[in-house]
Amino acid sequence: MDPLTNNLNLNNIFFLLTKIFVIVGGLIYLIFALLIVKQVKVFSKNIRDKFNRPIMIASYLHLILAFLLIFLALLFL
Amino acid sequence: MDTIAPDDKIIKTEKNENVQEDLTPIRRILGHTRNSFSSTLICPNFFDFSERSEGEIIYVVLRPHWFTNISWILLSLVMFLAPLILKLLAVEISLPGNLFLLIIIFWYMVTLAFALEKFISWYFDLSIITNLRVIDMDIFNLLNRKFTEAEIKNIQDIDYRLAGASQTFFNYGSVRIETAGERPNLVFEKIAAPDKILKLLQELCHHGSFNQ
Repeated sequence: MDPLTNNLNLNNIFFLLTKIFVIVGGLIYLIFALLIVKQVKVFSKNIRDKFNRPIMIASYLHLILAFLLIFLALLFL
Repeated sequence: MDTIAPDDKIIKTEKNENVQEDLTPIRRILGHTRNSFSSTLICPNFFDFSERSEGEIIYVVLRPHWFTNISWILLSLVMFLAPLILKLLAVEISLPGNLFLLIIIFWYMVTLAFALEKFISWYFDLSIITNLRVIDMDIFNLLNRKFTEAEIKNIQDIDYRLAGASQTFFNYGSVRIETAGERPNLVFEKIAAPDKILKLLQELCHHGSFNQ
C-alpha cells in the first residue's frame, strides 16, 4: 500500500472513531440529563423552596439540549 | 450573605398555621438572613420539607458555605473559556467543519452539565434544625445521597471543627452531633458559622424548645 492510501485510511478511521465518540458521548449525556431531571423532581417533591421551579426548568432545558445534541450529531455526521 | 429578607413570601401550610413561637432567641444567636440563596436560612417562612410533622418548626436550614462553590465555578469558567483560549493561541485543529462545531457544542454542554450538577448538589445538600430534631441530607453526587435524622432529646455531644486556611478565614466548618445509643451520628459539613450553630444546638438541648 502506498503512503498516500495508507494516510487516507488512517484519516477515515480517525473520523469514524470521532463520530462514534460524539454519538456515544451524546447518548451518555442524554442519560445524565434524564438523571438530573429525575433527581430534581424527587428533591423538589421532598423540599419546598423558592428556587425549586427555576431549577426544574433549567433541568428540563438541559434535557432538551441533550436531545438536540443527539439530533445534531445524527444530522451533521 | 448570611442573613433573611423580612419581606420574603410566607408559604402557609396546614402544618404551621397554628404554630406560634417566639423566635427571637434564634435570631439573637444567628442574626437574620438577607436572601433565600444564603447558605444559612434562619426561621425561613418560604421553606418546607415533606417529612415535617404537625407543629414542627424549622429553626435553621443550612447549606454548605458559599466559598465551597468557588472551585467548581472557577473550573466551569476555565472549561467555558478553554476553546476561546485555544483559538487565541492559534492551536490548529484540522477537522471537518461540522465535526469541529459538534465537538465544540458537546464541550459546552459538558461544561453546562458539570456546573448544573454541582449547583444542584449544593442547593439540595441540606442540614435542618427544627424544634424536635436535626436532619442531615447529604448529596455526594446525583447517584449517591444520604438522609440522617436525630431527635433533639437524643443529642449527647456536639463539637465543631474548622480545618485549613479557607475555613478559618471565612468561618465555616463541620459540626458533629453525637447521639445516644446506636443511632448514627450527624455531621453538618462545611456550614457557615459553626460556633453559632453549636451554641444554638446547646441551647436547644438545654431548653428543649424556645417556646418553653
